[in-house]
Amino acid sequence: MVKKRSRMEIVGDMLTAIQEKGGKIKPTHLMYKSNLSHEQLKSYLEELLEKELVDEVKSKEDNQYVIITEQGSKFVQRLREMRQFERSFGF
Amino acid sequence: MLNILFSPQWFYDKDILIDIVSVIVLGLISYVTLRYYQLTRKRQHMFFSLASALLSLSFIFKIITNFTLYHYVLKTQQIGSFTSTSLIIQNSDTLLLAGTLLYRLLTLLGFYLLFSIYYNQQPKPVYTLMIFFIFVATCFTSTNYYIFHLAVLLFLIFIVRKYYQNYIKTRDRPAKLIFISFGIIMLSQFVFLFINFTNVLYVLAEIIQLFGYSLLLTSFIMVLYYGKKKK
Repeated sequence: MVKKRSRMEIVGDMLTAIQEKGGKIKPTHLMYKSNLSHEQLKSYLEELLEKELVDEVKSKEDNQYVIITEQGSKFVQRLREMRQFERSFGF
Repeated sequence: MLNILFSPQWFYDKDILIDIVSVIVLGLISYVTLRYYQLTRKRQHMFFSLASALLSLSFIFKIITNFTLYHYVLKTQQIGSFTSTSLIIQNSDTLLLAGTLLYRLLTLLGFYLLFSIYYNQQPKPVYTLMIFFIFVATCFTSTNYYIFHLAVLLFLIFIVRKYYQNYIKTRDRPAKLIFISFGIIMLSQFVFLFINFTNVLYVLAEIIQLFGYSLLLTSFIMVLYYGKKKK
């Protein structure tokens, strides 16, 4: 059985997906990359925007993008360190 | 009578320096894991941070006790007049006893907390019993110092076993170093069991402990480095 992801893991997956796309991603792509429904994406994005981990920008072609902030990048970094800590200490 | 002086005279203060290294390593680990707890709110992270903090604090009490012993109690015995010396010894007796007991209590609690992270399926009565035995091992074994080291050794055997299993499972380099460093700390506790026979063993145990905690620091830095590196 596939383990249900925690809220922290989903946030981590979202931010990592943005980073892997060079720090900028379309909301639809983010939804697919993070395996979320539209409603879930909306709810998580609101939270990330509120915590200033991501920002929303519009391109010249009027396409909407989600970008990762410096704070968001630091958060991903800490999350990676924490995951390595859990792996190494056998949590 | 509480026997707390095991160090040879030439090793005075050097053992304090070794313990300061342990305080720094454990304090650093406690701080970093506390930040992980703030991030995840996981109980395991809180327990790990608390266990490291308790162990770090226990070493602080050991340092205070040894420092008092080497620089006030023993020195006065040699150079002071009879009256003033006995007064100082009586005053510091309480401090030495309290310092030693706190060192033992916090060490046992710290290692028990670490043990509980990996053996968390214990029923509630077992937790209560363990806390009771920790108090007994701390307060009623003042003359039999080795019972304290034996209790710590037992906790460490089970903790090291888990780290070995984790290393086999993950084949992770930091996990291997963590297993080795805790193995070395376990070895130091084994040597501490026999320090009553000759004080050279106290020196050996302290040096092994220094090596163990230094390696633990290296492992922890490696964990942070691997975490930064990995995608």
